[in-house]
Amino acid sequence: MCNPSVAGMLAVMRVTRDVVLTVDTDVAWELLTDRDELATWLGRLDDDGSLVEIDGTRRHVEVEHVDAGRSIGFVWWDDDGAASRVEITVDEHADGSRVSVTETALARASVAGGTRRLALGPAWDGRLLDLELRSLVRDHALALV
Amino acid sequence: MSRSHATTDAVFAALADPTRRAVLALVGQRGPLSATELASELPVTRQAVVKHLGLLRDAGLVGATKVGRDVRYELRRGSLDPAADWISAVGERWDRRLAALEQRARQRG
Repeated sequence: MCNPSVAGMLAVMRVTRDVVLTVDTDVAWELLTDRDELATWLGRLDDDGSLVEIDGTRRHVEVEHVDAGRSIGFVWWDDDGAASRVEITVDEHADGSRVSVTETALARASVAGGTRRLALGPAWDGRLLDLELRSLVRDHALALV
Repeated sequence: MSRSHATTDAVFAALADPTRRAVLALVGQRGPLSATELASELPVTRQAVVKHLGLLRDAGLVGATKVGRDVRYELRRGSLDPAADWISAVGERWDRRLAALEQRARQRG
């Protein structure tokens, strides 16, 4: 019988959470991607591509993929270099919408030598995000070939 | 970089590889085990197992003891604490963030 704490730790190098929101998926997506809305629950986006969380923690953010209205994936790391990958998805729910989050720890090397990524910069704003999405999809499609 | 970050980083780097995770799981389950015994359980060569064990040792996840002609490896007590701490801290942060998101949604709804 495998020691459950070891097996569990090895299987769960990630954290998952979800929350049901009393708004539809369009509004939920806006809460996740609009700069002003983000500031109400997560933090302030700086033009240099970093996020200053409400508790003052600064994280550098690079968007990896976006499925508009549905999901966003990014890598973020703090000033000490501790990095992780975050996936946020929005689904319909009987009470409105469900937002699910998965954060997975990354080894420093996998960030430093990481795959091609798109700097977030000021682009979290939904309108710009759509524009950047087009180039991201194109670049990633090429990278995956 | 702080020592705790360095330790956490080394642990995560060591655990990033599925074969190393399998090695560690076996050592945690049945250790102490030799590299030969581990290789017999895994689809990799003994040489590869030795290499993975070296990285796991460097990360402080396993300890090695020479027994006769064998070197036997076992999980180091408390070595996964950095991973447990990370999971706990990150979970608490998301609990706080999503509570704030839920509150904002109620305002919007």
